Amino acid sequence: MTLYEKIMAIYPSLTQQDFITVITLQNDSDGKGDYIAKWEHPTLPRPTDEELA
Amino acid sequence: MSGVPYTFGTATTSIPLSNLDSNFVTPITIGNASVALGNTITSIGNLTLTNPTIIGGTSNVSSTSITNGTSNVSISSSGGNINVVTGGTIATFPQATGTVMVSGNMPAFSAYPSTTFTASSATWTKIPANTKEFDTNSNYDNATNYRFTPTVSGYYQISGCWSLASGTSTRSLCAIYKNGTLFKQGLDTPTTFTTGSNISTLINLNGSTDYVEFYLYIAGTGTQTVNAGAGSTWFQAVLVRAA
Repeated sequence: MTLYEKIMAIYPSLTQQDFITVITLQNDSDGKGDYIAKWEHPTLPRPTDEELA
Repeated sequence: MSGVPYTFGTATTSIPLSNLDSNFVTPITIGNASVALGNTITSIGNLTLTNPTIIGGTSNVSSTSITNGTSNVSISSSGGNINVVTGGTIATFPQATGTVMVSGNMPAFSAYPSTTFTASSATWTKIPANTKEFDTNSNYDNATNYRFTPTVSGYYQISGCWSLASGTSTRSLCAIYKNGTLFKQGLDTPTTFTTGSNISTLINLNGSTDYVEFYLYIAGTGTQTVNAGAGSTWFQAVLVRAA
């Protein structure tokens, strides 16, 4: 399951547009995988590492 | 007068012989105001001049270089242009501040991923362009960071393109990141099925610490596979003009 899919499982109400505007998932092609580069959603808190594990 | 190889028969000021030796092998000073040498041709070898002024006329040089070691050599004009004439053709350097660029010091590169790679949905993914087509100034890192860090400051045209090899995408984007932050976003195609995106933009880079990278964004299900090869997915930059 990708990071995006994990986040969507936690917050099904998120839209694709949210991932363009207030949330940024990023992968720097350095072997470290996907990560949350920005989380500025006005109402939903950033998921914890435990929630994403 | 023995040992003095020249005659100063018309000299208007006496020259103490004590200032000369028989072979002029020690430094001497001639005059304290102005000195004229010859009226037809005067040849002087290994001459060092400090702050000379050429008043007028045409100065001819033959197989001569103007050098200053590793320091800069300045040719200046206080009010006019500087013309360099070669083969009867004039290149004019106008009154302007800046750096004249020639092909040898204008960075340009093109790179592409050698193999297909996957990208997670809704995730900005740096394109691992690990193969260079060219890199004129060795400013592109194709081994670790896939970033272009030009060593000449100026305005750069940055271009990139990617295309989908397989997967189902409902939104395709790309962007140029400057110093790790999204700086310019490319074509956004939020349709039911998309196959890629491209971007072309002009960015000022400082020639030392500034760098740019190329990221793509795919929205769909699961992971998507992106095409490889110079003709499908590529990242390029070229210096348009110096700062």
